[in-house]
Amino acid sequence: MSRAPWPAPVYAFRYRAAPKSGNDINGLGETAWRRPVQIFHSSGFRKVEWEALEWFFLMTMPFRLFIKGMGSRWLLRNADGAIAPRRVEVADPDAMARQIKQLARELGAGAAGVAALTSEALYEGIEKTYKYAISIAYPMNFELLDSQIAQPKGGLEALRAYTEITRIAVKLAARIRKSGWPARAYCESADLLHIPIATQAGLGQLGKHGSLINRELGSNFRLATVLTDLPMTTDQPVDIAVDDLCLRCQRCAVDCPADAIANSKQWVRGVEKWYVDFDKCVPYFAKTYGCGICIQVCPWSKPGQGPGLSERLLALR
Amino acid sequence: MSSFEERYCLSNPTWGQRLRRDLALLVDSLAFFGIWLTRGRRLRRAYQQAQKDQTQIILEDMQGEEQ
Repeated sequence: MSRAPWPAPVYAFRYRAAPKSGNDINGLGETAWRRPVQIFHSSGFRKVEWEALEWFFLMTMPFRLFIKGMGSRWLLRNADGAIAPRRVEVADPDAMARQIKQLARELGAGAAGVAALTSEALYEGIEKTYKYAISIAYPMNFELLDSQIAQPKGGLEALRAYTEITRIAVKLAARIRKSGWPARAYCESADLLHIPIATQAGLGQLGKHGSLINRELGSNFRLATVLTDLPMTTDQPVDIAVDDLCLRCQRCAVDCPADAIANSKQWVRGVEKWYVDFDKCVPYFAKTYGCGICIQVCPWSKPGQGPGLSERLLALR
Repeated sequence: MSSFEERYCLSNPTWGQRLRRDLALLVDSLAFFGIWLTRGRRLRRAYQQAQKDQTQIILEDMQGEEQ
């Protein structure tokens, strides 16, 4: 396996006094459970440890990326809203879950699932105020990203996906509120972690590259979440043999220019899981306005490959 | 300090609250765009120069100067 000619991890920026390691803040090596803390990509105005790099990221990004991000935030203002005074009672939570997932797909989502909301998915200081979480995935254009990854056009495709998934999540939340139940959409840079919710909602499994792998979409998608009290039957986590692939495959680890991807699982806040070195990954992410190389090179991300790959790996057990 | 969600995503707002929220977000967005256009331009130039000279800009200085 050889490295592709992506931008070198050489940086024309640095901290005078390095901030606290993102790996330490994330709890790398910690065997006791605790809630996560935001480090970078804060949700708006909250101060975070790596805010100087965040500022650099925002101020140096090309205009088309900046304006797309602003547009997405404008949509997100309607993440919450008026709740219909008359509540539609739910007699069959199973049917309701199916209906909501079908609605998410009709609105444009590539996949959707329901999980019970737990504090594990909320950053420290954020209170749990809803019972359920609807996780939705929106696929990105693989062919476009294939030639543009780690370049501004690749970042633009990621932001387009975020705009679309924001639109879907906001509409889904609005439809739920129309039936008299509270619902709130959460998209990029949110107050919650989308991946643990999506994992619990059966959308996929965590891959070596720190992103979720979905059976059909691979890692080539973006996530959003709608929190609600609408009674629904929850989905279960799935086993699609992601570990079977990631324990053997080294593609993302070899191709990562920043050498941020480890070949074994590590303890992070009381859970042994795949973990990407934050201190190596994020400066490269900022330099390339979104990177995404690991997502693109993952064998699972190639359109049409996922289901067959999963079947073959499960059969090998 | 509040997050975007806390500041702008109002639960069950009235018509008036929604209007005030939209105006506040519009004003804040335009102000931030203004910063990106003006001070951000200086930062982008300094960054491009640093790339050309193979030197490094100091992130804290840029943040302190620009914010």
